[in-house]
Formats: sequence, structure tokens, C-alpha cells
Amino acid sequence: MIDNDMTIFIIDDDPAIRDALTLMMEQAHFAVESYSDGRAFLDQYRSEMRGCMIVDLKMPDLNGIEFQEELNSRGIRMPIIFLTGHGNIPLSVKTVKAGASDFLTKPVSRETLITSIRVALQEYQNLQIRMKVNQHGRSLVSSLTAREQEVMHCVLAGHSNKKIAQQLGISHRTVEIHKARMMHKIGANNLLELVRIAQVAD
Amino acid sequence: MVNSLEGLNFRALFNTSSDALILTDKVGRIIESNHAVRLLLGFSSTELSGQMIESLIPDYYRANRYQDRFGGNGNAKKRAADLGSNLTAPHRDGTQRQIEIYCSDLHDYFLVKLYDIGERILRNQRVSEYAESQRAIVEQSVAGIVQTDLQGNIILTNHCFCEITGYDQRQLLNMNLMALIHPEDRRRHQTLFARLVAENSPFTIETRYVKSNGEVSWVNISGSRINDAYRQPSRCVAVVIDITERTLTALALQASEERLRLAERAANLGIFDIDLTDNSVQCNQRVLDIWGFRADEPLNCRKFLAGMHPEELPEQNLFTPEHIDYQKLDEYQDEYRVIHRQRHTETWVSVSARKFSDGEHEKRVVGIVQDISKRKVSERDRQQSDAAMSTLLKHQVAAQTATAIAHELNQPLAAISAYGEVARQIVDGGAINVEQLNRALNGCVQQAQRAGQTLHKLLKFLQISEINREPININALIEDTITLSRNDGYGGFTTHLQLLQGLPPVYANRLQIKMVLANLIRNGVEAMRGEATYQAKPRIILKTGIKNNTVLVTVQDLGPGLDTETAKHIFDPFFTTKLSGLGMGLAISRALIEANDGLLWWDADNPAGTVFHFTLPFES
Repeated sequence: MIDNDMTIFIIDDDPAIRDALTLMMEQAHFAVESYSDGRAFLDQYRSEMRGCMIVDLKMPDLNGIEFQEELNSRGIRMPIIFLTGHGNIPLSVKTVKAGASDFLTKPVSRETLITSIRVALQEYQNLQIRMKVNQHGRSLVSSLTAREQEVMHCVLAGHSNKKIAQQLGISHRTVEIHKARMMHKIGANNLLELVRIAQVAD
Repeated sequence: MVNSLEGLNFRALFNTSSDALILTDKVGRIIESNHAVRLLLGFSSTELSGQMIESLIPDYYRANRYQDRFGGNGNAKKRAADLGSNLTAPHRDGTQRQIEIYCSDLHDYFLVKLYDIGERILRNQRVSEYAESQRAIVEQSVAGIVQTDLQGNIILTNHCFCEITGYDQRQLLNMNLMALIHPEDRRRHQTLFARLVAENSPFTIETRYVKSNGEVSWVNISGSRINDAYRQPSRCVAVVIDITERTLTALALQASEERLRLAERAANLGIFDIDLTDNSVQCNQRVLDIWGFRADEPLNCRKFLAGMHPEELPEQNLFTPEHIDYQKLDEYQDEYRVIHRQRHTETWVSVSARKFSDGEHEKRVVGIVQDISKRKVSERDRQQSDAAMSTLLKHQVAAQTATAIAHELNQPLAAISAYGEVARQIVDGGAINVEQLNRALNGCVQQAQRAGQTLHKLLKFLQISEINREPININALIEDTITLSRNDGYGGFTTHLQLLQGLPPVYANRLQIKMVLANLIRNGVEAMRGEATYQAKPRIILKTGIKNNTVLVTVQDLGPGLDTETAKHIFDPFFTTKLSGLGMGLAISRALIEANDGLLWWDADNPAGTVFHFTLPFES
């Protein structure tokens, strides 16, 4: 299921293409924004923007590849579907390696484009969820005290309370207190949950 | 008489003496003569007795009074010859004999002894004449003669030797022979001279003299030793001949021959010499090798021309030996191929020749032939790579152009496609959003218009719609194009022209028709090249004629022809049978001919090779 706050960003220097694709996206009930070039998009970029981009590979000033590099360097992770006049395998490989979601040849059929958009948005959504979980995990871990983090690492390494007490030079009882507090803060009911959260936070 | 001789002994002596003896009395009257007198003068004792001795030897006795001579003044013993007298006595036969007389006073008689000195005088004369002539020979000799002692000091020279050395006799007599010799040659000369003196081994050498003016002259010296009467070495004689001129000439000749030989070898030059009076040809081995002639066969111009590659001859069959009029050319230079008579291999040669006259008439043509096959091969390679480069460039340009066209047309097409799908989606969905449908359909129309406009702009840019037409002599244009094609680097070909003369001018664009012709010729040549039986020099037939009040141009090759399946597609854009080709040639050619109000078609009925025809309108 795709969230309905997703927007399709069309970036093409040809107004006719922009208009036709906008119409097509609207008809498919997507929110659409179109820009005449990559620069215009970057100027109006807001961090809360979510969705995917349809980018013409051949544009004056900033071309598709350069635009992709610019997005990567700014940490904008929205998926890109490239459109090009003529398919060029080396170029498509290059863009996909740089993170392009798809590489389509104009004229593109509605079905192909919409399928590609759906795949891209689903991936983006999954990525965002992962990122959210990761971020949550990181914030949980960072809420622990230094001693609690030490204890957590020892627990994750599979050491017994007795060994941890020995290793950290504290009493068995103190280890138990740190461990209980740590598990509580992380929100893990058992060791398995702790491992999962610690992994995404890593 | 017997009485007059004392005793038998004297008589016997007198009679048998081999000396001619005459006995006279004190006044000179002959009493008796012996047999030797008879042998000498022919007179017998009887004939002479009673005669005065003066009658026999008149000169002597006329000059010297008998009395003075024999008158006891002591001169009697003096030999007449010693006085420088040349005495003669008459022979019986009337001739004179040269004699010498010796008189002995025998108290009552005089004994006159006659010596026949004729022979001796003759011999003396001969000797002195010989010596004289020898001297003359020596003196007048064109060879220098010099005599030296055993140390080499000059003791005699002749005139010529003076001339050779530039010193006069007096100067030379104070010099040693060694002083004349060039310092660099002295050591060798000294060795030879020492050996001559010691071992009497004569020598002949060529060496250099330094003349009195410092000039160096080349001489040939033959030295020999002379022994004295006791067979002891006494002096040396040398005959010296000035060979400067000869030596220098020889050296120059040697040098120039050497140079020529080197040049000949280095450049592998063939040399020929044509005698224009009978067209016979002399040449060196290199020329024989190139043409494949035998060394012993008689050669003439016609044979040489027959060895030329047939394709080197102009198409018109005007080229016969008579047309190569060497006499009209001062200098002749050409490059052509020669076919070896036996091996049938070809050699590219560069020939340059020059005519020589004997003052009035041109009699000879002398020239050199150089094998330039290597150069030609590299030229051809370069031409081919140039051609490949230009093809690549053309492809590149074509590819760029096609990309530009594709982009310009693809954009509206992509938009139309998207609008169209939107419209269809609206219709499929049932609930029609009129505003959306309107927008989609408007987009379709606008983008279709845009695509059309793009095409028109493009065509205008390529100037295909507007052409500059002018009256053209189609035959001349065909010949121009052939020349152009020959330089186009895709290899040589021959043409066979059947051009209808006196055609009215056609009305067309010169450049475009040239392009079409060049393209058809090229196709033909490449078709024949591609054939299994590779033809190094494909033959293209070009004809002009009149058909339906237009000019009809026919281009035919003798290649494999087209199969019907191929023939169906030859005018399709991007259809090609070549490995490297755009497949645009015939499509463009047809478009160009049509733009000039003509038609271009393939002749399906032709049995041999491929035939294309095109028509062009006459100037109205």
C-alpha cells in the first residue's frame, strides 16, 4: 500500500512532455509537481517532500546525470525514473548504479511508467520505514548511559551476568540493575528483541 | 822485280801478306804490288808497275809533296789518317776505295802499305750516326729521360724531362732525382732505387713529381741500371712519362663511374637509350628485369609499350606507339605500371627521359627507370585509410544528424503518446472528464503539428526543398564525375563511355546530379569488388540517350547483379548489402533525382551486372 502523501516530481525541459505526463499522473490520482529543469527543483526542495522523480536525461544546463549526482550529494534519497530519447545501455547502467530506480525510453507507455512509479514509491516507502526504525533504534541506544551501553554490548556478545561483572569490575548485583534498566529503556522484552533493535541502530 | 826484292823470304812475305803492299822506288814509281792490292783495287802487279804512286792515291800525294813526305824529314811514318786526311784510291772498276797508307823506308825502296778503311769508316759513320740519332731521340723524345749516378744525382736529362719537372737542364744537373719526387712517394721510390742499384732489378712505377712551380704531376717512371765495360754498375737511367692528364682523367672517370654505379645500385635505376632513327632500344639489366626481356633479344619501343599495363592506356584506342612522339618532347616524365612478360607481375615505374640531338636532328632518347612500387603501395594504403577516415567521418556526421532528428521528433511523439493514453484512459474509465479529455486531445494535435513543423524546419535546413537548377551538359558532367570518383580513394576502375553527342542541356542541380552519378558509380565498383572473382579494375559503363523527351542516363556495372529480393529493398532507407554503409545512397539518390523532376530506377530486365537508369528534363 502506497501512502497518499507521495508526490510525483516531473523534471523535463519540454513543456509538452511536462503537461502530458502531469495529466497522466493526475489521472492516476498522483499528486504532481513539474519543473522545467533540475535547478528549479533543487531551489524549491523542502525536506518534507516525499515521492519519486521522473527526470529527462537530456536537459540543457544541468543534465540528468549531473542532477542525480547533485541529489546524491545533498542526501535526497527520492527514487529517480529516467526518461531518454534513445536507449543507451552504458548510460542506463551508470545511472542505475548511481541509484536510479528505472531507465525508460520515450515514448513511454502509460502502463510501463505507472508500474515503474509504483515500484519506485514502494521501495521508497520501505526505505523510509527502515530509516525510521533505524533512527528510533539509534535514539533508544543513545538514551543509555555509558555503563548501560557497555552492559548492552556484553549482553549482545552473549556473556553471562557473572562474566560481565568480572569484565567490568563491578558486582553481580550492579550488572543486574544496569541490564534491567537498559532493557527497559530499549523497550526489549527479551534478548531477541534487543538484538533486532541493536542491529538497526548499528 | 825479283832483283828488287831481297831474298825469297821477303818475296814470300810480300806476296802472301793480307795487307795490300806496294813497293816503289825512291821517286815513287811502282815496282811491284801484291795480291792483296789486287783484291783491294783490282789492279794486278803488272798493271801497276811503272806507274807513279800518285796515280793511285792522287789526293794525298797532291797535297803532300812526295819528296816532303818521303824525303827523309821524318814525317814519313805519320799516318795520313792521323792528319785527318780521308784518302781515296781508284778501283779498277772506276769506283773509289777509302784507304789509309803507311810508308816504310826500305833504303832503296819505299814500301807502301794500304789499309782498306772503307768498311771501318762506314762502321764508324754508322756508330756516330747511331749515337747522333740516339741523342736526337733522347733529346726529342716525348718521354723524359734522365741519367743519374748510383746516388741518384742527375748527370743527364733531355728536353722533355725538363718540361715534366719544370726545371732547366742546368738546374737539374745540380739536383738529386729524389728531390723531384713528392714527399709522400719518396720512401717507396727510394726503396725501389736502392734495389735497382744493388740488385739490378728494373722497376716501373706511377708516382708524383713536384714541379718547380710547386704543382704536382703524375709520372710513370721506368728505371734501369747501366753497367760499365767491366760489368760494374755505373749509372741509372729512367724514362719518365707525364701521365697527369691521363691519371686525373682516369681518376675522374673512376670516380664518376663509381658514383653512377652507386647511384644505380642505390636507386635501382634502370637506364635506357632509344635510337630514334630505328626505334631500337639499349638498356641495362634493371630495365630488362622490370619488363622481363631476355638479355639477348633485340628491343624496340613497341615492345616496351606492349609491356605497359593495359589500364594505363587511355580508354580511346588512340594509344599506339606512333602516338608517343618522343620527338615532340624535350623531357618526358611519367609513372605507370609495367607487366613482366614472363611472370605477369606488375611493377610501378617512374620514367624520366630526355632527348638528345646531334645538332640538327633528335637522334636519341636517354632516360632512367625507377621502381616505385613500394611508394605506390604506401600511397594506396594511405588513400585507403583516408577513404576509411572520411567514411567514418561521414558516418559520424550522419549519426549526429540522425540523433538530432530523432530527438526533435521524439519529444512531440512522446508527448502525443502520453496524451493519447490519457485520452484512452478517460474513455475507458466511463466517467468522462471533459476538461481532461480536451486537454489531452489538444496536446495530441499540438504535438503532431509541432512534429510536422520540426520536419519542415529540418528539410529547409538541409535545403532539399529548394534547389538551384541550371542548364547542364550532361556528358561533360559525367566525365567530370568520373575524374572526381577516381580521386575518391575507393580504388581504380575503368569506364566505357557511350555518350550521345549533341544532347541539349538538361535542367538540374549540378551538385546533386554529380552526387547521384558518383553514388551509382561507387555502388557499381564496390559490387564488382565484392564479387568472388575479384576484379582489380572494375569496368563501369556509362551511357546517355534520349527517352520521352528527357535525357536518359544509364550506369551499368558488370558485377554479380541483384537478386529480386534484394532489388525490392534497394531504395529503402537504411537498406544495405555492404558491411559498412548507411544504406542511404540509393534512397537519397532517388530523392535527389526526383527533386530534379526526374526518375531513377533499377533495370530488372538486364542480364549482366546491375543497371540503373535515371532521367532528367531538358531545359525548356
